[in-house]
Amino acid sequence: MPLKVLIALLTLIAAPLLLLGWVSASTMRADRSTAQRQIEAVLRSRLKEIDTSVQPLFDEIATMLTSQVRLAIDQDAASGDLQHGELARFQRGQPLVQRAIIVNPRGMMIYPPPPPNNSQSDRIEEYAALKTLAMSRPRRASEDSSVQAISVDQSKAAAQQASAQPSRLSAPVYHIWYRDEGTQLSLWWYQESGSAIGVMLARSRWMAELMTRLPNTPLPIIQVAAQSIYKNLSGERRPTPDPVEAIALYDESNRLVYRWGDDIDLSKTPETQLELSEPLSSWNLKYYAARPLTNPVRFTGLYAAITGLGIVLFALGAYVLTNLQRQIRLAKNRVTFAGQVSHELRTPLTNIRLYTELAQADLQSTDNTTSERIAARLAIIDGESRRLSRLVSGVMEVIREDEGKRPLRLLAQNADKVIDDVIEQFLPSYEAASIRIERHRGANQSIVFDADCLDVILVNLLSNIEKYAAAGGLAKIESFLRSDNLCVRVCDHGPGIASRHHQHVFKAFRRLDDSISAPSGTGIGLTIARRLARRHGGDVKIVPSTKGVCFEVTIRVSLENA
Amino acid sequence: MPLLKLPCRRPFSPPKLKGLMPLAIAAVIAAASAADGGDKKSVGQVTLQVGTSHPTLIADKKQTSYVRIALTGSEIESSKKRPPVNVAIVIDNSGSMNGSKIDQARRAAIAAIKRLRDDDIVSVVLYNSNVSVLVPATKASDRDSIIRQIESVQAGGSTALFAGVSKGAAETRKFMRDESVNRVILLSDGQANVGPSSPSELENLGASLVKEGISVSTLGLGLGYNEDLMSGLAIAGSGNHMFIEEADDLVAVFNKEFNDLLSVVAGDFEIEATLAEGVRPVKVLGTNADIVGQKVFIPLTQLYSSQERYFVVEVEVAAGKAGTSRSLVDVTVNYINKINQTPEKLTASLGIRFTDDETKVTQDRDLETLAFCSVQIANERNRQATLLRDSGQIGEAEKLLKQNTDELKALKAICVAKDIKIVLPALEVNIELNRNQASTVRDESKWYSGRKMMREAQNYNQSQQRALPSGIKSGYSPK
Repeated sequence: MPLKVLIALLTLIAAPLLLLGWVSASTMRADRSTAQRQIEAVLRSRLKEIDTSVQPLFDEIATMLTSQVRLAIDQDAASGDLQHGELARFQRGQPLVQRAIIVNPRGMMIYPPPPPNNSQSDRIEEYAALKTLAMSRPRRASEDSSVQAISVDQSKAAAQQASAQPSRLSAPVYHIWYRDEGTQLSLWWYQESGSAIGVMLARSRWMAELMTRLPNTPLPIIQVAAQSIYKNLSGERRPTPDPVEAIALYDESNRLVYRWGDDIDLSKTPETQLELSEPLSSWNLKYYAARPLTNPVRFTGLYAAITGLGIVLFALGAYVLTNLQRQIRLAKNRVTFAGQVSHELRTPLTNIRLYTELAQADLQSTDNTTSERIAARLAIIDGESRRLSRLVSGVMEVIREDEGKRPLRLLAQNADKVIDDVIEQFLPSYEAASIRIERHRGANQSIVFDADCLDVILVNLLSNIEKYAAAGGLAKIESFLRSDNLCVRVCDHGPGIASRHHQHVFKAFRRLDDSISAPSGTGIGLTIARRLARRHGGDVKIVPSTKGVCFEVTIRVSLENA
Repeated sequence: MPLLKLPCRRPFSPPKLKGLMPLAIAAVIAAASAADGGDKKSVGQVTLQVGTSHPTLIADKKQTSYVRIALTGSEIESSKKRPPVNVAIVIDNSGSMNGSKIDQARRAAIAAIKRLRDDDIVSVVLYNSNVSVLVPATKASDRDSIIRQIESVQAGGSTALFAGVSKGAAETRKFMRDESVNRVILLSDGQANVGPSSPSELENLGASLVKEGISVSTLGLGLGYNEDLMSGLAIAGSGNHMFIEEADDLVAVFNKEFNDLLSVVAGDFEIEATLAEGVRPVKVLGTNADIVGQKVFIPLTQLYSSQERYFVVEVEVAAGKAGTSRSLVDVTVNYINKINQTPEKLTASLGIRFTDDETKVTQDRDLETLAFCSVQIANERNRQATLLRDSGQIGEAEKLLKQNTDELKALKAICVAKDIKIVLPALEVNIELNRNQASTVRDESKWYSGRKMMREAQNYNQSQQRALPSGIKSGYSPK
């Protein structure tokens, strides 16, 4: 197959396959990512719900502490004792509170008081940390640098004013800072005077409250009961249900704070995650599934379909191509054939014309021998026209399909005689080519068969010897009867035919040597011989021989006497 | 969503509203009369005793002294009605508890629940990686179904200790009444490895729970648990900490813990010590007290029947002139009498005097106070020894423990001579403890459980727990 055609074929197959594969794969991927997005949206809304359910905690803390702080501030303003006042009691007694802080309008931390110089180092450290916290407190909305400049007198006046009536505190603001184990929450209020009150929340406590609000892992009570019944009945534990999901809360440093749901490994990537709302916006809720929620794209089906399609396309392409090629070869063969046939036909025609002219010339002379000579010439003309007729019918045999073929003319006659007649035709040319004829007669009896048919077969075989195996110098013709068959073996000592060509030589227009130097021929001789033999219920085959080639012709015959 | 319910023990009402406090006794006692044995006041369920190690101090010298504030719960007769308890049993059912441990834990919890009265509240919380509320807070009258639930408990998973305690406390909070004794009992054999897990985080949680009147006891099972975390939580949580090496002992220990729980006579303490001018509070030994200026606020959640609980305040006394007297401290104790649900108040004062005579100082020593203070001082050193051992300074740790043993022994000899019997058991226990530990710190093979025993003993001393630490095998029980 020429390379170009092969490339064209492969392109023809590959292009649609690649296109199909790409389209299906991208569709599948798109489907999957859509599904994933939808699942993620659902999961996120679940996490959002959880976030919403815990959010009131911080509002409630703010509301509760605001009222308590307000009360404490008022009392302390009335009593004037800040150190041992109500705020100090509030700080000691309120479980949510770690420390209370008061910053005066000038930005100085006035509560808690600094620890004595020789205090334990952790108290000094804590004081320093509180000071830092006070420095980083959230500024009042209206506050700017000018606030720092409020005079002492002004602030005193403001404080007195505040003590006269319930203090007005600004709305509480959450403030986040990071110290010790992590996120620390503090709440800040501003008095009208500009003083700020801060409460550092007890980290462990608000975390505990947060966990309390988050769902417990439900115990499958019914299952537990069922389990004990099952255990009693079967003596073994019922298999626990497969894990499905887990939700976990992580802090700002991605440390696990709390989890619920099934006991699955959290080291893998979560399906989705959501930040908590303020003030814990650096914390995350993560959803984990025990198994992936969307199936990974499976290409095996697609691969199989594409491969199948590929094979079909390839087969189809190959079929079309080989067919096409055969047609081309056939057309080419026909042209060659036509040329060869014309050439073959011309030879007997030339002879006929020549001998006809000679015969005509003979008619002019009035010789004694004229009639003899004319008769001889006519005999040649007759022979040549027979040859022509055989050629034509051979060509017809090849190019015609079954219909319109000559029916077998079955007559009783002596088989060896028929064979000898054929051989006789070749005597002159064999002699010229110095081919010795070796004849074994084993069918010397009258049998019923088509003599013309056998004649054509043998002529083809014998002329092949003349053309191709003359160098062998021998033509061995053997005839015998084998059950209902007449067998004729035609062997030579020529160059022989390689066994791989044994089948090809019977194909029409197939010549082993098609070069110009090769003997003339149509390439249909053996085809004709085989077809005729087969029509006669037999065959022409190459049989093994030690030298040259040996054809065996069998034709079905019926014995006359039978 | 329920509204945030965070009751403080006391509303932040102006002090004048609390003037209704009955039986307020303003004890004004002359410094001279206080010099012998301190000031002892008893009202209702609790006796308050304030003493100082050195009632007479050397003159013209700034020096350190110790003030002991002791509270003793009255004995309750068994026929008398005890206050209802509200207890959350928090059980670690992580994988490591599998086998006999979880089995014993189930049995211990069931045995405990059988001892509850119908009006007691109980809840059971389980935690591994996750937290499950096995029995939400409910009346103990439902004990049959509670026991059935406990019987179904299996073990597996990691240890979310913080969340377990949080949820246990939340269950307790559901039915918190003024008169009830609220407690979370944590049983674990492991490290906390899910969620907050540093000792300080757990201590802060315990401290916060104490503020609202919930105490936390921790029972450490086996050799695998984090004793710093568990003992820290119990100390901050004003509860007991016990080390249980063998699962078989669990039922007995749980029983002891319940003995305490069922014998609370007073709770919701507010102990306020106001130090006089010229006396600076330095620290309160082994207690997370709040010191503001001259005032010391000491947290205490409850006092058991016949339990003596004392606090040692280290003070720095400014130099005084010979022959003069000075007021040292005023102590006010407010608490709820849990037997008849009334608030009660105790006050006591104490003075000191100065002398030039060194022998007088020694002669006047209040040996009982000195002995108890020494126990706490030794306990501080014992903690120091644990730290030293942890950092590999075995020699130094051993030295500290030996010093403890020797000092306490010397003190014991004096007390025996002076026939002060009351302090002997505490001294003996601690002599024994320090001597044993001095050998444990050297022995690598014993250190693993030895450290847990040390922590348990430190907690025992600090909270003056009544159940003996496991390191002590002597046959008596300290008062």
